[in-house]
Amino acid sequence: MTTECTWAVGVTTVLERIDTVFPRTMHSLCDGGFCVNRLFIDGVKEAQGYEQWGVEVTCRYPNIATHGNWLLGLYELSIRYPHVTHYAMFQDDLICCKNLREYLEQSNKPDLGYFNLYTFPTNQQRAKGKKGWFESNQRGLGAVGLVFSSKAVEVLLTHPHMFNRPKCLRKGKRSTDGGRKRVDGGIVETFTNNGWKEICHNPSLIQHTGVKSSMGNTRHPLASSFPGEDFDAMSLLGGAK
Amino acid sequence: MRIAYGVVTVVDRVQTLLPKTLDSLGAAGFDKPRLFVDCDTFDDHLKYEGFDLDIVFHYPRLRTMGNWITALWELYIRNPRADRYLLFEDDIIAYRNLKEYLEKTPYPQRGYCNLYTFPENQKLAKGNIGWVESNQKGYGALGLMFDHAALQIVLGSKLLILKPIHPTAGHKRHDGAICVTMQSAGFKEYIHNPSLLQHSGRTVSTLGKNKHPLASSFRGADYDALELLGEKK
Repeated sequence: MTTECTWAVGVTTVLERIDTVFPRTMHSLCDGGFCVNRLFIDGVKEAQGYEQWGVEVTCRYPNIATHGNWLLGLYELSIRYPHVTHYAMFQDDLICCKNLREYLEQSNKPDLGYFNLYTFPTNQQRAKGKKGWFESNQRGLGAVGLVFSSKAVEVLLTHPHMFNRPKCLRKGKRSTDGGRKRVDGGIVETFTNNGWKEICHNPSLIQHTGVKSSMGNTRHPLASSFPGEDFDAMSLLGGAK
Repeated sequence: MRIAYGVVTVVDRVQTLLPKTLDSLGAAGFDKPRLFVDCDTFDDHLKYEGFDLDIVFHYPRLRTMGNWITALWELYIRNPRADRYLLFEDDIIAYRNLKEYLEKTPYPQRGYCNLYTFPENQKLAKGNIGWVESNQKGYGALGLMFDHAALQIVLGSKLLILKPIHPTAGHKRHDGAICVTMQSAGFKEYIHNPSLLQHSGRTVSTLGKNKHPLASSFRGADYDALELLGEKK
């Protein structure tokens, strides 16, 4: 069932990308139909250089890293826009299909689910060639563009897992960050603990453009099914609701 | 004992109450607070160049409740293994060596600490020195301290995350909402005799509320909090 959507849209970013992937992301989101409400800039005291975008900002100094900036960004959106039906959080290195927002508004939305707009190759095969939304492998791959209902935000931000995550010291190459880097896995773990599902789309509705992660993580693989920025997402309607 | 601490503030007070608060907190042992600033313009950061502190700017203002709850989250994310989390407002006076006193004083189990004692709560102390249960009305958030267990309740509070929806009080009275949240989890608010903080705001609050009454038991900015350790015995 489709519902009338109102939006709060945030973009997390770092200064290093102000002249590289960030501008393209902003332009692409605009073509996608998104009016970005707020930038969450990590690692700066001042927002000079961002005025041209006409967007409100939050600056954090020194940097709090990916997970913190993302979580605090979402919390701030929920405080500033408590009455919207949906929240979209984007990272600063993506491109998206044209009219993506309108397509999302026309899509059936799961009661107990959230949208991951970026479809990893490992999730792609689960679509079995069908266009439209499908359940991911529930591993939370990528937080390049995530869409939540207001209820989903409430669940996410109040779940004990989100509280415990900053204390998590992982072994391996992320062992130094104490849960500071990866956003995606923490989100899906929180939701699956509540019986919620991560939902992906075939074709992928966004593509990752970052060559180098701002946190030193390995680069995301490209979404093999992304049809390009010029693709009109509304053309999917009919077979993808 | 690691205490993560910060100060929530608004740009109007950068040259008035905030410097006095920071001076007093420095003498109290809290010499490097993280500032959480609610701003009005893109250029407001220039007003804070002389402070040499870690800082967060929200432009435009997130307002009192929003700035406070996101500040507490940020203190936690940046210091997930601290023992205590203490968030001050920008219009306070503290005792000298307050930090060391707090480090040496047992934390009330299943509770959180309100460092500012309203006159209405003062009589509950019955003359005893130390932490006592307040009237559980959550008066004031000039300085609130949480241990891990209490912090998890506040940060996971559905009442607080849904508070902005309220048509008139969405951005105010978070002190009362915190107290209600804690009570619903079986936790108590504790205040201290004597009051460990004094309110220094001489005008109305940033939300236009009436000024806090002064804490009648506050012993003055020159008082050394460590002397309280002797009085307790």
